[in-house]
Amino acid sequence: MANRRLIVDVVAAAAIKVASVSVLLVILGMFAQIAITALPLFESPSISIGTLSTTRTGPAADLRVSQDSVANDVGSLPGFVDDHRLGVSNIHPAVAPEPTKGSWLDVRDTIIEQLHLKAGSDGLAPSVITRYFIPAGIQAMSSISLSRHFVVLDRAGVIHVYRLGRSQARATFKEPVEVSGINRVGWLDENTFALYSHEQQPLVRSVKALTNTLSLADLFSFRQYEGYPLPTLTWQPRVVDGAESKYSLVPLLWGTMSAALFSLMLALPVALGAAIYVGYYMPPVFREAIKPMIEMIAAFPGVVIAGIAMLWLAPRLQYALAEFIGIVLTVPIIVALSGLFLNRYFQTKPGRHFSKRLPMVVLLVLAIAIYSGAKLGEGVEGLFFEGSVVLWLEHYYGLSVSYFNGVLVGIALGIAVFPTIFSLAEEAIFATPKGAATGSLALGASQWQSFIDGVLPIAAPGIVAAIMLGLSRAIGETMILLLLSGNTPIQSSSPLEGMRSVAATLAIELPEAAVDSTHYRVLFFSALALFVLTFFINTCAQLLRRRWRRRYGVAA
Amino acid sequence: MKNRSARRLVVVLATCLFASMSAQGAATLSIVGSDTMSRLVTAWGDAFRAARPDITIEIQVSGSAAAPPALTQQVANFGVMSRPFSNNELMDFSRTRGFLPQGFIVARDSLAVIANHQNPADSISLEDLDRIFSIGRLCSGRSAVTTWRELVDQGIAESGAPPITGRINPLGRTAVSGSYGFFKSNVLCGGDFHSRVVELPGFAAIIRTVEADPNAIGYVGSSFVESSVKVLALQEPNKDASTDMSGKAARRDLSPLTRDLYLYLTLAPGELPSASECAFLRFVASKQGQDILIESGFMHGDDSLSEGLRVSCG
Repeated sequence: MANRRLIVDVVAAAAIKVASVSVLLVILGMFAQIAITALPLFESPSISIGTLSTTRTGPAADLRVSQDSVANDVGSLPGFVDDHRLGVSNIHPAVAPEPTKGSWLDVRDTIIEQLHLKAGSDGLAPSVITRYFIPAGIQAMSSISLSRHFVVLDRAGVIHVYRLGRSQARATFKEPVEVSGINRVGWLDENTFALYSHEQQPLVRSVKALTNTLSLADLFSFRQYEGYPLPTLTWQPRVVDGAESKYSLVPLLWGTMSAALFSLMLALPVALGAAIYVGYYMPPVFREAIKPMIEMIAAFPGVVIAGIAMLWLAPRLQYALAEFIGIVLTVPIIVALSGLFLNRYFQTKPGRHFSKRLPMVVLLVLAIAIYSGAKLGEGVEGLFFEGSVVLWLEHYYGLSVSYFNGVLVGIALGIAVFPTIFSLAEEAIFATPKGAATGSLALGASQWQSFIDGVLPIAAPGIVAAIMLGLSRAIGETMILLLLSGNTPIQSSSPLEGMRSVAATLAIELPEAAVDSTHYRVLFFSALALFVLTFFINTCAQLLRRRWRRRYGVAA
Repeated sequence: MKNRSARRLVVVLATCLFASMSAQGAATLSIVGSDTMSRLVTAWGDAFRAARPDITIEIQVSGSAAAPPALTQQVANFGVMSRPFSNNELMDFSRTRGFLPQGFIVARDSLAVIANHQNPADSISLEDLDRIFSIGRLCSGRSAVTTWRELVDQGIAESGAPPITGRINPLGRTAVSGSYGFFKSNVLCGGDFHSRVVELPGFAAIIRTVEADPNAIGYVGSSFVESSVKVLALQEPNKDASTDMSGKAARRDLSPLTRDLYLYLTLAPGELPSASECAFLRFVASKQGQDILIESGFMHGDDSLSEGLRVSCG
């Protein structure tokens, strides 16, 4: 008998070990997979001697035909405009038959200037956006490849490969070639080019990791793009041929974090207040009924919350912003005041028990508070804001209220994260040893004092964990952001503007991205960046928890 | 109406569920691609299913850009797209498969620019669209427009309705959509969308938002237009008369935003389409298929499909 129990014990322990190790392995594997997909993005290109034959057989031959035939439709392939100007991109045949509209290169002896047309008050005017310096002078130069690269051979025989918009050469072939006679450089395919001269065979060079690579600066710092008035942080991947891809992750990370922040600003006070009340004050009879009811909210899928918010809340929020603000400000005050009043009232009538009538009383107070909050907001709006807060803000402060905005996202996302935070925080408060509160009550402390000094220090690590889980949910939530944020990659700290989150971007764009393209890798990298960000936040929270645990002498 | 969209939802869900198993069996056809063409493809699919119950047909309509990867990875028989393959997609395809896909113009439609009924504007010029939607404004070269007041002041409002004063809320599709690229090339002259342009996943979402927001302006496929929104007539820069895009006229070739809709097929050189693929193509080219096309609010394509049918299916 004892023997069998021992065997069960050993088997169970082994099974648990295997399970936990495999879970760890799966997580590590996923992480490694994402990293392996994303990290080739940062390889630096290098030039080597290529051969003509390998690049011209098989699919590539077909490919060149297709490029030419398609290019005629798109009209985005560059061509020389005159002796020293090379048309580059944003050329639209229907609108701009002259290839200089958009962007072009002005090629001089030792300097190449990339110009673009910038919209001003009196029409489009050219302005320089990038300068490429070739101190030794230009011997020959290629056209622009589909991946927006061009090759320059200087008089010293050094080959430079540039990408449009970046003044540093991406790759340089240091081994000088004999320049005499070489008068033309041409692309054979995306990664291969040839130097032509009259006397000898063309010299073929191929560039490794030229396309589908980037630098970290492309993802995180300001860049001057064609057609943009100023250097910007912009997310706008290429969908139209010849267009410039803009892969700044900053607006996306900003969007994710601001959405999470707005949702926590709304969900935290409510969730923690509810958790304290249910876990500490509420009689267990009610707790058993109310806790599962609140946790039911967690069963709502994000898409349901988002759908309701999109169809019902969004149009109303436009007209009822003042009412909403009124409710947010008034409800806590009225609830606190009525709590005070009711407490006094029931204390004068010892026979009546306060807590038995609680649900009814609370509902009544809430209804009154919400109604008066809305009315107050409406009244204030009529008196001081000329009838519409939205128009008033717009008119006097230039603040505009987007249809899809941070408040909307905050409410919907707040509803989604609320049950997570509530449930865990309540559990942490309820699970504190009863002695912590009763002991201090017995010494004459009030209920609130015993909570703050007795219960809270013990429950704090659990509450922090609850908030962290809520934050993770808010960061990872996709559907709510996809439907409600407007997916506008703007960086604004205003809750009245929209945003675009990393998760929503992944949902929108990953299906369209060609496997192993730059876009695809950047998307995976954004997932990785998001992971690093949450990892950082969680680590900070863990450190905080550990410190508190040590301070209050609670066993971890 | 409701029934159809519900059915479409079911089809999409079913496709997702069975996507992993699809394209294997000989009698299963899978179609992936444009949301613009979803009504058309679903209607074709329904009628074809009724005519040929022995052939299972699976439809997945998320956006044009979903088609090239699906065709490249050989998980779909047909790709439907509201734009042709881009150079990059052609390169990816030919690199993997060694040949080029074959596209037919099976239908045409136009983009309609829509606004809320409270909006006093009845028409808008392509130049003003550029000023609203673009960051670089390569078409117009003029200053950006952010409020309706600026447009209204310039004489857009003629109907005498009270002007709306709010900031323009421009709505567009997500970058997966062919309409996004089409609008970008033809209205923005290849320039970028302003970062304030809201990206919504589907035309229905654009219509719902325009319905509710008086400041909104958006573009939708003309077959999606509902009476709950107002179609703005488009003024071309060089013409005085604006093109009427509302109602049936939108189906004529008049609109400057008319585009070709493609059906792509991937056949290696010398390979002929399978019997079930031929059956579907023949159905599309048939009178019934073309009637469905008109009923769904599209315009006829060109003769390339019947030509291709004659060559490859006999």
